[in-house]
Amino acid sequence: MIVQGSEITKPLALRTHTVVVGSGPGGGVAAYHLAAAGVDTIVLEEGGRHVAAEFNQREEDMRPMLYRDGGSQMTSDGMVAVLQGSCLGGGSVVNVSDCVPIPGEVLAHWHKLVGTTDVNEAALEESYRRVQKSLNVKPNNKSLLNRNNLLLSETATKLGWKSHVMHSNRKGCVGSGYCMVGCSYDARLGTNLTYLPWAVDKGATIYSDVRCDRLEKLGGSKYRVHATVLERGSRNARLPLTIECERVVLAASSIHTPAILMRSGFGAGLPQLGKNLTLQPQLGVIGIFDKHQDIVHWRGAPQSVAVHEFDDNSAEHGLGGFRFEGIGGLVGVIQALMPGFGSEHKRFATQLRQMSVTQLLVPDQPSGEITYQWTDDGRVLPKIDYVMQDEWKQRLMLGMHKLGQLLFESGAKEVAFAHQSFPVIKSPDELSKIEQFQIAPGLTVLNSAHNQGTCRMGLTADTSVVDQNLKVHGLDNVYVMDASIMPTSAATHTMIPIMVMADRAVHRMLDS
Amino acid sequence: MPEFELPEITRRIFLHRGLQALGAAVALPLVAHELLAAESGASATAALKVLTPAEYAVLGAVADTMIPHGGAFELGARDVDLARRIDAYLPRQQPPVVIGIRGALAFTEQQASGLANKKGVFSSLSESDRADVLSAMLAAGGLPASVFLGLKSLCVIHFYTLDATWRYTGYDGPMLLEDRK
Repeated sequence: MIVQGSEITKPLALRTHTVVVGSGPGGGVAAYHLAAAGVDTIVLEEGGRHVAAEFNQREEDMRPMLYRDGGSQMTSDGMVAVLQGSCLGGGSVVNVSDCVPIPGEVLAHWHKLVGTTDVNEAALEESYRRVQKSLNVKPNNKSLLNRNNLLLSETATKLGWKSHVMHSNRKGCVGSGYCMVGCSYDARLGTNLTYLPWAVDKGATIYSDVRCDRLEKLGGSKYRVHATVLERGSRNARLPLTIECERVVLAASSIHTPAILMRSGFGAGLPQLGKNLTLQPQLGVIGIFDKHQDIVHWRGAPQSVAVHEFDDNSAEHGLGGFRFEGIGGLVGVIQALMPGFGSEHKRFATQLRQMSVTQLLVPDQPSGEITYQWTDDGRVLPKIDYVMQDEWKQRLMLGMHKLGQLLFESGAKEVAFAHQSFPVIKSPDELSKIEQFQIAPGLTVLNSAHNQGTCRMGLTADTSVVDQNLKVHGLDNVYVMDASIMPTSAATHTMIPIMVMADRAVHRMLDS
Repeated sequence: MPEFELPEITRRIFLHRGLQALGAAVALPLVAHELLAAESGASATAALKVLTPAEYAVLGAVADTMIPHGGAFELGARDVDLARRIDAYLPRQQPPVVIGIRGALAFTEQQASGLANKKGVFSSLSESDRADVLSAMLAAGGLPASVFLGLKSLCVIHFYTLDATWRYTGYDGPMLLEDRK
């Protein structure tokens, strides 16, 4: 059963065995396997429940509906936009369907960094098998590769650089291209179409428009979950809702899971809580081609090719280097990336069909921390502090240079980086100007779709928040199963890593 | 570069930048309050959903400067009453986002002119002076640049998602099943 907030007309006091907070990749997987094992399960989702018939492919309508703060959440210095899906299905409803495993080098790095001994490729194998089958993970159908992505792969081949067609969780995709604002065709198999309905079939109850505020520890390792029923849209508080339970699985994201633990008063014994944030910031890069080149980046699979020539993963530093991936689909947002304003900007706008759009994805090391304030009615106001490291900036600049080289080689006549005042580059000779590229709030447009690490996994409470079974140190029966548990950036796309880690943890929980 | 002391909470709730847009930040509560209290053009703005008439006027001036009539194509923000379109979308936004937008408008109206050595509030300036102010905000970096980017994103996203602009950009619109259009 799915109960929407608007259907709740009075305060509720419920009981169940396990409460799952969040319905995205981690929460969805956990909810299904718990319910399938016969565990009485309630899922709480702060966002609303929306279905394909509502997804009208208009970003101005969909962003407020499907994203946290309409997609406007920022780091405290205004440097990086931190995207979070916030609806039933969470990030799995608004991502670009890329399915990427955790590289072996990253798992080896975690072993060195935080001492994990049970998280390796062999231990995750069964979980990968289950998750990939559930989501129909396969290489993108070649008919979905648009000109934007093909330019990347063809030019990479010409330059002798490695690239590949990415795997995705699509089924029956028609290539409309609006993955980031909800699939109108139900062709992207997020948790909203898979694990969550399967969980309901197994007896789970899902409440949408309900925000988990805090956990109260009761006697005998039981908990009372304090939650608030919200008004759809404004998210103003409407009614209280409490649930007494034996176990809690937090899967509310790297941004909001720590808020729940802190507001519950559990922060004192967890010095790493809210720390070790990675954002994996990305920079949009636009190539402008001649009029006869009809690129139309907004059709087909928006992100289907990755140029991975410059990946540099190792057990010493985990994910490293940089890579290029096509992107498209949000024409308003992409117009906003172009520099300047007024007549100059209008000139760029008329070349929309001739624009190629590429994300320069640069993995980072943990260097952020989130602290919180709460409004009187319990709304969470995260303060996301993120320090951009010099080594990361150097890789970004090198990536800009290499991507500029690729775009000119592919035939671009101009290359623009997502920066409000940096000049458009008009020839390969001008790429040396990148040395003057200024990374600054209000000028550089960086975005993060893969925030991780604020409840990192490890062996002790001094160095981590959860153990290798994803149980919170020092708390019985409280688990975290979202991107926050990653000790460092897990992969260039995090849906599958989150799901696999949740799958492994929930099966261990059930086995024990 | 001028320094602006802003309450921490308002820096945070900020807004709408570049890729993610929707509102720029900097709620200067006092200035915002004054702006909210101002009256102008009530008859022309009776149907506003969130913005006050004064805020609507400022946003209209910003939008007109960001996307002027003429240039690569005739249609501009004024031609489509972009400020009203943006206002119509604000009820869907969560309160912190709206607070951020209000702060950004207040900052632009009351404080930004000084960055370009212009006298008078932003909405009272000539088109070329307003363009100079926006350029100065960008050149100043820091908070003014962030406000610029927030407001630019707000305007650009709501303008180029408007069907009337697609003939100029070549965008062919949503690809929905026939019965869903």
